[in-house]
Amino acid sequence: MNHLRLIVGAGLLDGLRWARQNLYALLVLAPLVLGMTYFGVGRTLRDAAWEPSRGEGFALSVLTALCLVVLSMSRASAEIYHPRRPESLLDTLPVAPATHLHAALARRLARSAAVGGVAVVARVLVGGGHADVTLAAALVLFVALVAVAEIFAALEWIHWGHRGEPSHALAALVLAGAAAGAGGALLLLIVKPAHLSGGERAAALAGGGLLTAALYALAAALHKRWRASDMEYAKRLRARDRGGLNLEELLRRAVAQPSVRAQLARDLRLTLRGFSSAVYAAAAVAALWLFVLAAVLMSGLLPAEGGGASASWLDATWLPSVLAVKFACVLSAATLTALVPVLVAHQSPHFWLERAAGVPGADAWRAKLYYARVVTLPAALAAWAVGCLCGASPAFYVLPLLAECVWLWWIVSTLCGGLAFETPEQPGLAVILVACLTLAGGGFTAFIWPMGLALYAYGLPQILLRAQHRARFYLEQVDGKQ
Amino acid sequence: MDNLIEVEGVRKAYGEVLAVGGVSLRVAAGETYGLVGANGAGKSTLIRTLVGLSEPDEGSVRVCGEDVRRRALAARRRLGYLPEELYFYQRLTGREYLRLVAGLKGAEERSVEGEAAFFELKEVQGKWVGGYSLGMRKKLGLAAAFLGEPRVLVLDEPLNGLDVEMMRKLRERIERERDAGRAFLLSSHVMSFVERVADRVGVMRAGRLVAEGTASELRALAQLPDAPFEDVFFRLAK
Repeated sequence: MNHLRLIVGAGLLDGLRWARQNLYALLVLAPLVLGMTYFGVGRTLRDAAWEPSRGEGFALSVLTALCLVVLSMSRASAEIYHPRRPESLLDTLPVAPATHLHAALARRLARSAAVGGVAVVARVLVGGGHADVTLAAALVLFVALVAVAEIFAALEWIHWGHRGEPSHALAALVLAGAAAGAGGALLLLIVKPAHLSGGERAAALAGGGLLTAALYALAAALHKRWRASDMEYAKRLRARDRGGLNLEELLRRAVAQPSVRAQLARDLRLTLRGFSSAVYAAAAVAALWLFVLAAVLMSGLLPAEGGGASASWLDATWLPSVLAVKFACVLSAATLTALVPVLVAHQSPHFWLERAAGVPGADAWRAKLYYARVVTLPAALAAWAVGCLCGASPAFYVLPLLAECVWLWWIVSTLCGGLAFETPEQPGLAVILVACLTLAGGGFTAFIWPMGLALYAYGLPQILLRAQHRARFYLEQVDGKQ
Repeated sequence: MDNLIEVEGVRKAYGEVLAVGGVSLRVAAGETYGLVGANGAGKSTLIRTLVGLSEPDEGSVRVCGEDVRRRALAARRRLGYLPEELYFYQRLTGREYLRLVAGLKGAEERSVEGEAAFFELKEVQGKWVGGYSLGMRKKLGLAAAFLGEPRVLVLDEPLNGLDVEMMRKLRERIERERDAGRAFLLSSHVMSFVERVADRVGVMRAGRLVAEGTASELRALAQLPDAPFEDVFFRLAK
């Protein structure tokens, strides 16, 4: 217990000091973003004509719980096995294996508690009722179940990579699925208890409690058995051979300047290898927009289309379903553009390489512009494909809709790429800035596409000129700052 | 003489690549053993196996008579380890870090001040480790390894980043501790240091221990009686 207290205390102290270093982001940016989200989402939820049915609510809750478990596997495994982390030395000290597991579980519990807090806010927003003992019990069980399931999934994930035992993997999938189901039921109980009858509530609580206890016991036993052999595999995971795509060769024809090509290849490679959890988060949120688009198109939530298949060429661009596709395209692409400022901030300590190699600011900026275009292109194409598959567009407008999506992608990615070096040291602020501008420019163009031409002709040249100077200025002055 | 480190037929492979192939060695109480070899020869893998960070495919490792796999905690209580790559909590001070290690090792807290003083960390131990230079980080790692008076010390590349004065101090400390009955196993590419501090030297090549003995025995084996030890190493390791 004393060892656990020391390890958790050290991590906590380190985290608190990190928070002190990031007071601006925590006290200014976070409340701003959270407040805007609260009022924006809250109002949308209160005014929404659509309310999820019992089945839809349960499905959304299970999906949320499943995403929490799956998206945390990488991080949870790092917290258990400590690859390239300060705790790695602790593996050579007389610390019991269970202490390592409990320290990782403590971290997971803290993160799940934050998710639980968000669930309580969601309950308030959707009018889930007053707090009671059931809410407290569901909240505690949800936090514990998600944390334990994340640990269990991480242990199984590493062991599967190391040993590749199909029977184990299958059992783990079944258990993780059961945990997602129970977690989803508990989440629904927290957010919208009216969807569950009295018996179902008791069953959700009892099932959640039993599954939490069972998963904990299983995780503890598996960790004790596997730690010694899986630890090294987990630590070598990042050092394995990463051959594969020869991006430089692929880009040879598309990008003429060698320095831009080299930077772009590096940036894409870093993204493919998940340089930050933001990569997964942005991809997940971008996919969520497409999922929402499909749900909206399939559920008949949109107002009746006046012309439908008989609409003229010019009218088709304003059909509600076509507009939905275009807005989903903008939202999805704008979400992925968040990667640009995060990438610039991630590379900030390494820009000495560009400076030492004498890379002109214009080339550094152009590489980020091309990067923005490459990472957002799949969003535009996917939005168009989802729209077509869900019958959003009359047959004659399928290709023009593709052209509109491509046009929106071009506008959004150019705006984002142009702003890559605007606030390189403050990625949080840069994400907000980029999101506001790309959503405004993209949304405007989605509604009246010819206005995009005016924006492109009159607004973008100034933005791009400024961007080149910002990039050059940044590369020249970083030495003095660091 | 008591053997504090006993490595018996350790073999470790990563897929097709043989990292350590059937290595056996012993280090007695009051002895310093130098492990040398080119990059990729298997030194660090052997050391990681020795401290329990890597499981051997075959063979066994004992520290102070305790099997590193079966009685890991008992073995680690007697072990001090300096890894080649050091990762610290960036926002803990040097003192806080050493107190954490002391707490986990069950060492007395006043030993923190002693090690900090010896490794010249007194003036910086109130600062965050994130601001430390390479040399200071190495000193902090060494101080952490020496904490708790372990009977066996395993030092992987202890000289990287140290200034000449600290290298000398470290050598004298190793000699003093060795004379007090501790066992050292250290790996280094600085041949003059290894020759001077180690009682016996093991030369590794492609995962195997190709030569072992005192500096003079290795000179005789390489048939280079008067050449610098670096030349002896080249002859034996290549």
